[in-house]
Amino acid sequence: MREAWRWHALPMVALLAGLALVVACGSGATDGSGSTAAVDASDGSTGNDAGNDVAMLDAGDEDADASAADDTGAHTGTGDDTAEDTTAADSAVTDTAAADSTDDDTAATDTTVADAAADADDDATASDASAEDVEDAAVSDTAVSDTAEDAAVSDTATGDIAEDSAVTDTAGSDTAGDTAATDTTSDTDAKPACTKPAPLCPGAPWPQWKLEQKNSAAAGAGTSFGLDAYKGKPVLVVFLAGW
Amino acid sequence: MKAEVLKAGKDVHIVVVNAISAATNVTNLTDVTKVPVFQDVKEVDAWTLHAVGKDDFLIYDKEGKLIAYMPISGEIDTVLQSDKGFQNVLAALLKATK
Repeated sequence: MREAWRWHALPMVALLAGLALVVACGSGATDGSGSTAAVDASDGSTGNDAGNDVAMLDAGDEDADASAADDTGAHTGTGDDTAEDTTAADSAVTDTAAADSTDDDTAATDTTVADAAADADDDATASDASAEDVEDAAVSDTAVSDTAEDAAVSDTATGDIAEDSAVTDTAGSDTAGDTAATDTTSDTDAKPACTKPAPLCPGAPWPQWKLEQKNSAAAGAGTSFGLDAYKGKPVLVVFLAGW
Repeated sequence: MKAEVLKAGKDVHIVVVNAISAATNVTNLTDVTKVPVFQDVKEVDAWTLHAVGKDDFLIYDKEGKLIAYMPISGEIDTVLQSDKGFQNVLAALLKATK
């Protein structure tokens, strides 16, 4: 009878031991999983705060720095509350975005200033170009001067010719030759350019035409002739319409 | 005009060239003057050869060179009906005789 109880009690002990083992293993897994989640949450919030603070410090904006201090204080004061940490991190992100925007704006402004500086450089380059133009103009002036010098050379040549003429004048009838040369020069310089039609310019010869003279009270009535018939006296020609 | 020039001891020729468009009315001129009146025709077109318009005056020297152009629309009054215009043309004509 005692051995029979032994054979029945042994499986019960083994079953109890197995239950105890199962219970012991189940409580250990639950503890590990909970602590890991807490560490992860803590690491996440700390990492975000650290990143945001650096970003805001890099921004160099005074408002962004104050927000960073607030974020740090909130994070420190709140302690281990993951939700608040996350909110602080979100705010920090927002602040960072604002700071970044400001920074971008500043950068853009700087770029504009840089562009302005570049424009100034361009202007300077333009000024250089103008300077080159001036130099070119100077070169042109030099060319003109050269031309003037050439003209001077021509004048010298003319002077030489005049001297030659003087030599010729000494040998022959000098006065008539000198006077003729002087008159030709002065006449050419004195005549202004005529802008009127050629027949109306001073000195223009009258046109050659032949028309019938209709007035029986004057010479040549009924015949055709032109103005050449009136040479020897000044002629006043009047253009009328007898209607 | 001719009489005034002769009165000044000078002599000139005065001739008239009637417009082509007024050919049929040339007697309106010949009836009132003793100076030669030439009738312009399309084949010659003397007005265009002279480059002038109606009532313009041209004064040539004794060699046939132009010495004065007096357009009716010019700065100098050449309207013979007015005393000033008459005197202006007369003065230019006398100057041409010098």
